[in-house]
Amino acid sequence: MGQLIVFLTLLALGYGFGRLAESRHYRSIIAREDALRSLLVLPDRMPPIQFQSHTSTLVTGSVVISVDYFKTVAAGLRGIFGGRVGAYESLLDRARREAILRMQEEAQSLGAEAVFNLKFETSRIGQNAGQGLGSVEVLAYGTALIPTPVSASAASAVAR
Amino acid sequence: MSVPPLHNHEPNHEPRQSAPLPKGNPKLPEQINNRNEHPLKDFLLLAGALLALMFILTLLLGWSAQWLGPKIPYSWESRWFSSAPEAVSGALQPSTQDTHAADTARQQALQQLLDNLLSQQSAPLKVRLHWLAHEDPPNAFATLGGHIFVTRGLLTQVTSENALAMVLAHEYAHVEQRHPITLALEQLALSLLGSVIGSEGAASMIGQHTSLLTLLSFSRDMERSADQRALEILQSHYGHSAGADEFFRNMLNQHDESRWALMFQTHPLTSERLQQISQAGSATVPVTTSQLTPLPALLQLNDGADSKEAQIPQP
Repeated sequence: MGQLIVFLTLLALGYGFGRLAESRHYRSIIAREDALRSLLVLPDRMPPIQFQSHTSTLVTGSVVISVDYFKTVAAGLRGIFGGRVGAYESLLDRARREAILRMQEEAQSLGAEAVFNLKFETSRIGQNAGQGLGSVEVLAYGTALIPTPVSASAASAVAR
Repeated sequence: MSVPPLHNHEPNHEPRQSAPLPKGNPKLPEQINNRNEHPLKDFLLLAGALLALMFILTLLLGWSAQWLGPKIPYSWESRWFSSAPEAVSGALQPSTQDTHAADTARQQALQQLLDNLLSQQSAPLKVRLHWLAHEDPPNAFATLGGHIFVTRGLLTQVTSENALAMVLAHEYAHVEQRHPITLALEQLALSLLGSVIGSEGAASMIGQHTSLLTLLSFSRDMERSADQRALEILQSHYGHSAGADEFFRNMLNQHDESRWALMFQTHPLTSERLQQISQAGSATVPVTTSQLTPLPALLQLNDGADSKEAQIPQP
């Protein structure tokens, strides 16, 4: 009986706070994506000719998001019946987009014009003593292309 | 210029010449990786399906246990569980030699009373009574192998032999109707079911609680049928069922009970049992308290003022 109450309380807390955090996070992600839309992020391995003489540096963005209890339970139920685990889909979607945003923010602070060769890494963190409640880390990294005064003159020379 | 190789897997270190750069990052539709569906809808659907599944499976397993339990010969059961469970028999150990003799005598008196009760029955099962001299909560229970345990607290709650006989007959009825082995089979089947559902923590939680509540109603049915059988035994031994309600009435006076609690209890509400007992009594000849048989001296622990002051702990 007590166990059931604890379970339902955790479920309600997980649902309430999890939903609140998720909707807030999505609002923030969408706003920041709009703001950073002009800072190009491309999967191409090699930069095009316009960036031939830019200096390049590694930029990374990583984020760790915890699973809430409700998501764990929902995913556990999915584990019995099978199918798309919607609860985790939105979690990873948030994590990937947040990681790109952080990478873009780093690139922007370095004065980069674009980030090439975008890659992702995803890993699971912790199992909270086997309780099945863990968190996910997503790391986005790429090559930031930063214009330099020298390269600017070289580029104009090429254009001539 | 030479002909370029057809399969050039070497990375092209020449800067790319083609395709002008996009103006900005694309705005992707929101609902590709994050479907716009309320998470509760999905959750409730799945939880409901699991609840229904567990309920049906538990019912099926419960029914199979109830079918199989009585089919296992009683001789097998008593052979498998010939010695009393260790955990309980530990409480039997008396502290001194003095009390040991008294406890043995009490145990024999209880066994004698039960044997007398059953002497009218055709082919009574062989059961063994155990006296728990150091257990204060008023209780009696039957376990696998025909072992019946009676606590010291129970004797403080009864004033007549009829009341004690009702409890003993009730426990005997459990053994006779093979309830302990049926419950053991149910639990075995459930633990199998639990391992199928997996250790998925939360999901097995839902499953377990469904099964538990389903099984509790099973065991309440058992209590009711054991009460019914116990009344029959009393009827055939004493010729009436007076005094059968004494123990339950005492328990009801000490503990309030709510109907809501019924859902989580292994036993039916005491008030409901009292009602059943009084219905059975009214069907036969009217009885008066003078017809009650006094307790044997050895079993009298409820002596007057002492018992009224005694506080009985919650069972």
